[in-house]
Amino acid sequence: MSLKAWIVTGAFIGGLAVPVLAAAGQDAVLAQYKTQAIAADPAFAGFSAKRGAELYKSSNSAGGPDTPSCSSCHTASPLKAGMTRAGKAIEPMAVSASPSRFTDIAKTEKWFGRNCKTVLGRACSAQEKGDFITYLSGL
Amino acid sequence: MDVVGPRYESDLIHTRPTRFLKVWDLPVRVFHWLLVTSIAVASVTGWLLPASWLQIHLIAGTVIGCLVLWRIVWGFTGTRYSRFRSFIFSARSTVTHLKDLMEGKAQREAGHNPLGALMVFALLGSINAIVLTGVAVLGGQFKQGPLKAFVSFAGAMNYREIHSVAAVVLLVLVGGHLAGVIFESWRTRENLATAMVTGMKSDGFAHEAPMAQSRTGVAVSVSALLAVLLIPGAYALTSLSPFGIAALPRNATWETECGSCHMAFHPSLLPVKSWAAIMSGLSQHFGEDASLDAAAKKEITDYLVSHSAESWDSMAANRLRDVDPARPLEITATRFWLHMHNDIAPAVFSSKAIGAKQNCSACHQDAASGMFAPQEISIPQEKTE
Repeated sequence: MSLKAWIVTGAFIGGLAVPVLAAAGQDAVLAQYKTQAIAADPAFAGFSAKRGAELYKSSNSAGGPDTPSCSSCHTASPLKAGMTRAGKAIEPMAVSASPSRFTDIAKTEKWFGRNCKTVLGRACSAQEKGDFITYLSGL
Repeated sequence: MDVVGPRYESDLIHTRPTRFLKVWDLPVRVFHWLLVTSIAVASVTGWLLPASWLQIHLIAGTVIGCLVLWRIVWGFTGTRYSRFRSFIFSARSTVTHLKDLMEGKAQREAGHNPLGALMVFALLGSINAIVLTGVAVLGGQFKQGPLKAFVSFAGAMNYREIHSVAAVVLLVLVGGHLAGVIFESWRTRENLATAMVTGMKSDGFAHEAPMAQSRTGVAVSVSALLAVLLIPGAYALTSLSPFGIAALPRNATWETECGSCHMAFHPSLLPVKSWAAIMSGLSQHFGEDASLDAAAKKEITDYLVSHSAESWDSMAANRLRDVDPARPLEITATRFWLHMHNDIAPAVFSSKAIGAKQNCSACHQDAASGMFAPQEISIPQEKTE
């Protein structure tokens, strides 16, 4: 192969590797939630981006009065930057816009732990978390 | 070209009678009108405009200080009527002048008359007091300028009282000065304000004496010496660490955890009691769950408590210690915060560039430092598209 061909091939493989590696990070987190989801419900049939989207857009009254929905702070489009109630910018939730989302299980758990209570007034199930990540990974 | 006044002092004695006498030399006239301008600027920025004009006020004050210092030098080195010696009158001659005035037989003076001279010293004295207390206020209240290492916030509040009272006294004195100029202009049929522009008064005084030559070389040398001593001195003092403000060690946990939803508020912005209450109620943190693991919570609590408002001498720390007893966790519910922001419309806070009133750093460029200097305020304007 010529040098040019090597470079083109290398760049192609490298280009493929970036999203694949990023996806690998979310896969690890998703795999953990999948294990938990099966443990909770043996009939678990996989995560659903559609259910995730419904959860993201749902309006709730059991949480904080200023935070009925994920979109209250993260805006209606997960591709856009959001803003906290205290005026701080939040990077977009969509993995395509913020590749590091859902790659750290401790951080992911911390924010699900806080925000499910703040928005839904209860903890989220493993299936809900997996649906949510699946939705935001596919945008 | 006709020479309007005597070119040299000796002309007065030896040559033909002249119509005008040069009284005020150029440095005195320039000094006078620069002082008028800078005092006007300092008055408007001090009394009428918001605190964000502080920098202009400080520049005006610095100019005033330099002018007065220069005037003192010139008071020993200038031409005859500029020198303090020419207008220091005895108490007796002052009383005599007053009596003569009332009896309508007071003579016309080339330079300052005894009452005018008193006014000049009163003006210079009050201006001095205003400048010096102003530097003290700047040092203690904002921890800026050459006295920042020496004045506490509480001290600055006292100096600010003196600064304000002396400024009112100066205003009254300026009124008296103008009244005196108008009265004397009417009495002697000579426009004294014009005389301060041209330097000339019409001739024929009772006490006419050869005018001493100015010692300009001495004046310039002394001024240069003062500048060489005072300017680096002021800079050196300004670089000292401020009174009651210890360097804040950085804490990454505080910065990332508190800073993920709002700016990491400087520990000096709330008292110990408020921080402790906030940190023990994180699951209900202003309407959101902000729970932390035990280690992070302890680390942040220790950090906030050990650098709290009680341990700092900034204006914000001094004022925000005084929380609203009904809402002790909220910086934005303190009397001070509300007072400082009362002319800002709610729409400004909710604008896209700011978002919320908790977002201090949107307008206060130095919010992270906890200092909140008036010069660092810049409210982002809502773009209309």
